[in-house]
Amino acid sequence: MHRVVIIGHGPAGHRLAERLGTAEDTRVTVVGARPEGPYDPGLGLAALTTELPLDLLALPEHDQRVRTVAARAVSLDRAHRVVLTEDGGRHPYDTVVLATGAHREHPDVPGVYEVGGRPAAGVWHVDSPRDCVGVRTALTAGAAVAVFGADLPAVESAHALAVRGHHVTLVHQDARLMSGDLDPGASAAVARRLREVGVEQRGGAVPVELLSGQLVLREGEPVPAEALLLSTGTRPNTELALEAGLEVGETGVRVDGHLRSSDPRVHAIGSCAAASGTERCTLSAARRQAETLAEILTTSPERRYRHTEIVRARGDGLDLVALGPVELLAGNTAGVDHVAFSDPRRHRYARLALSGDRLLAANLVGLREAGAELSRVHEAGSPVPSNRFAPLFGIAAAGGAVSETVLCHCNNVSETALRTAFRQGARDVAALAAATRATTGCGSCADDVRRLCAALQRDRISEVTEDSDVPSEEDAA
Amino acid sequence: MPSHCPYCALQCGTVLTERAGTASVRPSLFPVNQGGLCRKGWTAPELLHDRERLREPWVRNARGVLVRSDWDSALDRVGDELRRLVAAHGPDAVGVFGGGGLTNEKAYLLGKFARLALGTSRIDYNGRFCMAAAATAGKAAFGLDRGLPFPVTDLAEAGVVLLAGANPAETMPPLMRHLANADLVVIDPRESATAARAALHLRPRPGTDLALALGLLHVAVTEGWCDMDYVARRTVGFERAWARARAWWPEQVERVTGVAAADQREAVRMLASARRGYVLTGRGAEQHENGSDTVSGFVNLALALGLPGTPGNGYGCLTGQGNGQGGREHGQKADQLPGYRLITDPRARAEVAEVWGIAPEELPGPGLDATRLLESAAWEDGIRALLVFGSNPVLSAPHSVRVHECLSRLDLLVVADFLPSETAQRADVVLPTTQWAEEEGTMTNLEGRVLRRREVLPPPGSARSDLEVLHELAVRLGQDPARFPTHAPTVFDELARASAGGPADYSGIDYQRLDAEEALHWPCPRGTGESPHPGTPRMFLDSFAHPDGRARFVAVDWSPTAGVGERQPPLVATTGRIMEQYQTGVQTRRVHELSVSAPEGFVRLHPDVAARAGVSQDQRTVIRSEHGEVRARAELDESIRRDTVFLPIHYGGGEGANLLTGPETDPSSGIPEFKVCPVSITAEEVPGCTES
Repeated sequence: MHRVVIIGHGPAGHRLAERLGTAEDTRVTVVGARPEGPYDPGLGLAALTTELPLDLLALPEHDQRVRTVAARAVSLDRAHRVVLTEDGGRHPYDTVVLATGAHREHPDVPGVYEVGGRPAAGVWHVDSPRDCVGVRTALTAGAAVAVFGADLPAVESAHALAVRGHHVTLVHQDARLMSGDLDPGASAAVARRLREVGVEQRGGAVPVELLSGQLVLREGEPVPAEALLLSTGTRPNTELALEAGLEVGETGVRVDGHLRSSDPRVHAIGSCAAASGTERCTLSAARRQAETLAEILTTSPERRYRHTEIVRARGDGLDLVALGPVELLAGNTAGVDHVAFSDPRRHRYARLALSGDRLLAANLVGLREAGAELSRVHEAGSPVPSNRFAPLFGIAAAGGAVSETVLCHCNNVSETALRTAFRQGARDVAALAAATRATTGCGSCADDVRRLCAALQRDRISEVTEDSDVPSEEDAA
Repeated sequence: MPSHCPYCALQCGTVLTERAGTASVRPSLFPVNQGGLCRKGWTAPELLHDRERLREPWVRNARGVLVRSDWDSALDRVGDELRRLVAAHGPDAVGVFGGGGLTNEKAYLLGKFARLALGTSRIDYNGRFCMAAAATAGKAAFGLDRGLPFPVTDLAEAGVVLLAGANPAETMPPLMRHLANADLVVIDPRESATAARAALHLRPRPGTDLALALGLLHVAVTEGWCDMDYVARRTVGFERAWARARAWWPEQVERVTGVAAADQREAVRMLASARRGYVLTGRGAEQHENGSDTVSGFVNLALALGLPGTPGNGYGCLTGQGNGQGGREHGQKADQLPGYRLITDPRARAEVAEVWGIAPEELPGPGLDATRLLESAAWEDGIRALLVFGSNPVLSAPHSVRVHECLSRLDLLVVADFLPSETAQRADVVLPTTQWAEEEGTMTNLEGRVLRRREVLPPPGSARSDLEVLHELAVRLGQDPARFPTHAPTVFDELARASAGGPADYSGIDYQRLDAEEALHWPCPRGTGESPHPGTPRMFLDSFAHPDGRARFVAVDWSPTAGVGERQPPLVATTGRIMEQYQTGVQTRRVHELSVSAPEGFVRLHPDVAARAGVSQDQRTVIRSEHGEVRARAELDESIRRDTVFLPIHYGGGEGANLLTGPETDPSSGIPEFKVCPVSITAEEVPGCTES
């Protein structure tokens, strides 16, 4: 029996337990499970805008074979291969997985946090589904909300709240939005998109105090804020790993392609691990790491985790996709071509970095089909379309499968055949149908046939009135 | 004489006229087609007079050549061989392979023949390749599977219809008459004829339909479109299904499927806000190794929106074959007895055994699904003889290379058919049978309505009805002749009795009522009072067929399958149908008008894919998979996905699409994976051709 202890029960730890829970010869223990949760952070955004009861936000319960321990892990004893919990529990392992997540960086703004670190009344965290339910319940229609942050969750929640009809101000200290993911053009396009749905923006602003109903900035007017939503970044929880003497870098516990730390019996996934190579581990990436590790620990030890950076904003109308390293979108790197498109009036923007027919990086704003298609191209590593503009402006319309001149596809009747039948005496739609079977299949060509018939009748009448005995040209066509 | 088209499950009404031994056809005002008919229907009489029509039995001689024979010799040979094999290896050494084009009477008698005369458990049919996934999912959700639990004509009132992997504009054109007023949401990786008429076309990467269905359910829940009152009153299992769909937010689904998140939202918004809405699935959603889960995904969506069992809304599956519906109800399926009852259900066994005059213990248990049945020819304890009725598994079964190998191991292959199909050409004994306008019988169309088929012309040569063939073989196996009647109405009456009390209850239906043009949809039990039961055009309005009357959400999830990972493969082949052809084309390829406009197989591919492969329009190409290769003409198509090529299933020889497909089947329904097959493509090298 292979004993796996998972430390942490956020989205990564939960997904791993879910996948391992039904594996044979594996006994899974999850340490650090909270009694009331866990809630699915993937649903926070939905909870901001739709009335979702808390039980729909819960991550599903595990197979009964998975043991969950509510107590927090306090130590990882690698020598004896045991995890110690604060309640004095000892959990021996063959493999241990760190899924300890990350903690928030608290902004140093008076009035936001109470003594002891609890958020003040009216202050919520965008990464907590409970808080998202809380803020939705607390806000009345049209209430003023301030969102503090410049990262993806800040942009998403500002957008969602504005679409829901709240008066939203997005406050950030950075000069522009999502500078870690977007080039300046894309940032500007996102800002315009937000403005269009009514999000006011205060870039480069420094909050100095939260008072009742307003966020005071160092310069300029205070921002009305019946609620303040925080999205000011996180840091990986690596204390346990550091104490246990594992290698830890800036962005988390160092892992190899098998998501293995410097100790082969210790793995790390999700926000506490440096698998993504970037500061932020998206939910998608956390989930995929968990799924890959489940395979590595059961059926396919040779599997490797390959990180594909796709930043995809959630929310109807945001249509924002960032692929690959943003640095490649700037400047002149040898061998890198750029394709760019900007449509400020309609808040659309695209910049692609290509090497031959390979996509290296891209920023896309407001181009929904292109976002979907180029994400697939990036993920699959397949060549970009030969017509580089095709994905940007939608896929070409129907191809040559259906011939233009066939009016009735079901019975393969061409316009020529109908004209011939008309000439041979089928002078109304019913007679044309009887002669050619046109319109008798799905019936969708009935209008076309009626129009053609009417035109032929008109031609005939005019021919007759002009007393012409010259056969009409079209018959020869 | 009123008749019905011999092809698809729509069973369009026609009027058949016989003049000087030649039949001609015109459409009638029957509700499903309302005077419409596609070109297959118009030209169907040509089949009755086909030059290659089988007119007498053929038997393979000592030199291995099929030669003309007579009925007694042919039947004696089959009877002798079957007796020998059963005596030496037991009854399971004989397999029976039926078809979804057989009449209800034939399907019923075939099942009875297998279980009673042969005593074998090994019977299954080509419907396993067709709608088995929808049948499994339908039963799981509603407690009962009827393709459309409402009349086709109800669709005309719909505001929005979502078609998942269905292409009726091409496969059953007259159905589109009922969809003319609706806004269509079409899910198809290619710009099909149906997609071309869609208000919204979602184009998922093949093999990811389930992820898309999960995404649509996610949107329905998180954007407040769910009918929570309906969910609470009429369903169970929502929480478990949601626990899976929860993780599939639209942008995550976009990454896997390639369908823009905005389009997913739009699809749900359209369907949910329509005054009347339907979700319909077709083979594109069903023919996958996760086919029944995929259908369940779409049924879950329909349930969340409160569609099934509410007037003017619903979920349905567009059945494919002519008697695809009836064919799965009367006992030619490996796990079923007449009346659509499980062969493992003791009560069903007792009731059917009583009608058949045997003890329940004498009934064999469940057999093998169609793919395994064919494969078993290579097993130690597998089949050694196979009797094929109205089917062409050489082309229609997946993994053709393996099928050929398995069939060649058989001691005896018997094919009853009216045309020399690719399977008949490999047979040891070929028995010529009657077809649609030459026989009496009933068919059940896609809306569960039972229809009459009538004899207008005498069969050519010495061709006999399948009922007669089964009768003669049963007698040779020592059965009481009276147990295997050849008179279709008599068989129907027995079928009706055997179905009594089952989900597909036909006991209140008889030929008189059908001949009086009554619109009888099953279930139609024998009435107890004065007036006969009127049939059930609309099901589930009061309750679903589970004991508690509630529909079930089924908890399903998408994960990468053998064919499709999240990243791989770069190119997949997907198979499907075209307007001109039906099934494996055995019938339609022989009709002049149809073969002229669609004479040969082809592969449809994006110009970018063609350019990389060095292939141009109309050039011969070689498509290779792990399992085999196909040679076909290239058709370039800007509208197809760049990771997908399309091949029609209707052609034989080196163009058979199933030369590419593999052995994977859906564990719950046994339906094969026909829609996702990783391939590579190159130009065909022309021998002796030099550049000059």
